[in-house]
Amino acid sequence: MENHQRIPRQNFAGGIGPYMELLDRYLQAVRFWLPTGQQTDIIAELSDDLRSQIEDRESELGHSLNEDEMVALLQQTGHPMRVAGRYQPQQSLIGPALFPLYRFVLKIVAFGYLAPWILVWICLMLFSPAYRAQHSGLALLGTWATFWSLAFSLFGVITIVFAILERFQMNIPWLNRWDPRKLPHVVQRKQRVSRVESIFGLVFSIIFIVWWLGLPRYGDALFGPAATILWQGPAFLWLNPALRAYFLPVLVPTAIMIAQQCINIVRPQWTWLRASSLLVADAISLGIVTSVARIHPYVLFAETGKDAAQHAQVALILNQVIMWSIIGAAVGIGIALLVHAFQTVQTVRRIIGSPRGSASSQISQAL
Amino acid sequence: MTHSKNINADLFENLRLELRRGCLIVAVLAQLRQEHYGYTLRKALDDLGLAIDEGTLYPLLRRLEAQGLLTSEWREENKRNKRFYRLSEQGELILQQLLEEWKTINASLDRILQEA
Repeated sequence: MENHQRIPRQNFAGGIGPYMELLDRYLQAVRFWLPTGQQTDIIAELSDDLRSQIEDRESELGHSLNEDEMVALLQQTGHPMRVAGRYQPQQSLIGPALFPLYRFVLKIVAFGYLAPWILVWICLMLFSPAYRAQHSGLALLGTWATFWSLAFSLFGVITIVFAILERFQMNIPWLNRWDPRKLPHVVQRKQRVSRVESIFGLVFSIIFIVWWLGLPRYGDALFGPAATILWQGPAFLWLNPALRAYFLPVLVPTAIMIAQQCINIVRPQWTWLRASSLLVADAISLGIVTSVARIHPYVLFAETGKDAAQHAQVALILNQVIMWSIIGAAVGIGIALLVHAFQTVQTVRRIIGSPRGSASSQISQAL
Repeated sequence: MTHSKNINADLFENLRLELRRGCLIVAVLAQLRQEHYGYTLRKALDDLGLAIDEGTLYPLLRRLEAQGLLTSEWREENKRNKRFYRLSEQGELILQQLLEEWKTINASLDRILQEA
């Protein structure tokens, strides 16, 4: 030994206290987590360090460490797994270079596949009595077991693919040979709602309201005698009278959008208003559609007469078509709701966190 | 309020560890111009105001040795086998370069802090 620094020690023969077995147990636990080829070497070195610490501590105290003191010393050193972990090379299944892409793909799968799966399931449970009857009790658990197994399988496959990419990423050409000129063009975030868009939206909204309100009176002119028959009955087929309660509420989302369009013509910088109005309109539309869906059958038929069986068949087909149309509409509105919720949050966050500071930008947004 | 304090404490701890990480390498290399075994090295650094726990030091020593910056040998002292470390020739060269870099960064920081 040449110049290494010696530790001054008192004349105390430490390191042989009654609780040294705890140290051996600790070292054994650390050894378990170490790489096989380095276990002996690392443990010998760690053991010497800990024994030196114990000797120093015993010299300070003037007695062998008791159980509590030994436990405290080992606890201070750290959990065996954590201590051993520090000897491992820094490893990650998916590193920081690929992680953003990994998260992006997971989001796509979650919003593009799993979320619609849940929406379709909710719609089927709400609107399809037959499906509901078939999927109650244990069958319901089975359905969700399928969902989770699907979700975990997708998560697992994507993770494995990315772990393999991570392992061989040095060989992925597009990560090493890329051209800034091929990057997407800068997307200008909308700071204002286009007035042209608001005006056209307003015109179409008004046309829709007029058309809808005129439907009962002028439906015959628009759709021929079938409309009048359906609306007014009695005939061999007519709409369920309970649906009439929804005739005016259907216009509420459109009325909200008209209000938004009028305001945005005057205050186009209120981008938050458009996003939040769409969100509210979607929520109300979804509520109406789900309520309407409960009024099954939507089309009633004359149960008497010589063609009753044929009428029943037509009504059945019509009800099925309407039911699936409603389910489709609910799924569409549900997806729109998610998109608009995301856009609303983004808009609000952009306004709150505007780098232009805040004061000027928030005043501009407010005015 | 307490939650916010905890977040700040965690944030500071993370940044402190990041700041220390590079400095510890330089300190260990510099201290190993003299031969040490792990425990005496820790004590020496601690006495000079740079405490480092065994869970950080020993993996670092192994990494530096694997990179050829340190040499080590097992010898018996006080009836126990100890592993003695010393800076290698390559380690001395790298330490010089790191110290130059350190001085440059330090001078830049001083200028930045004076301007701020």
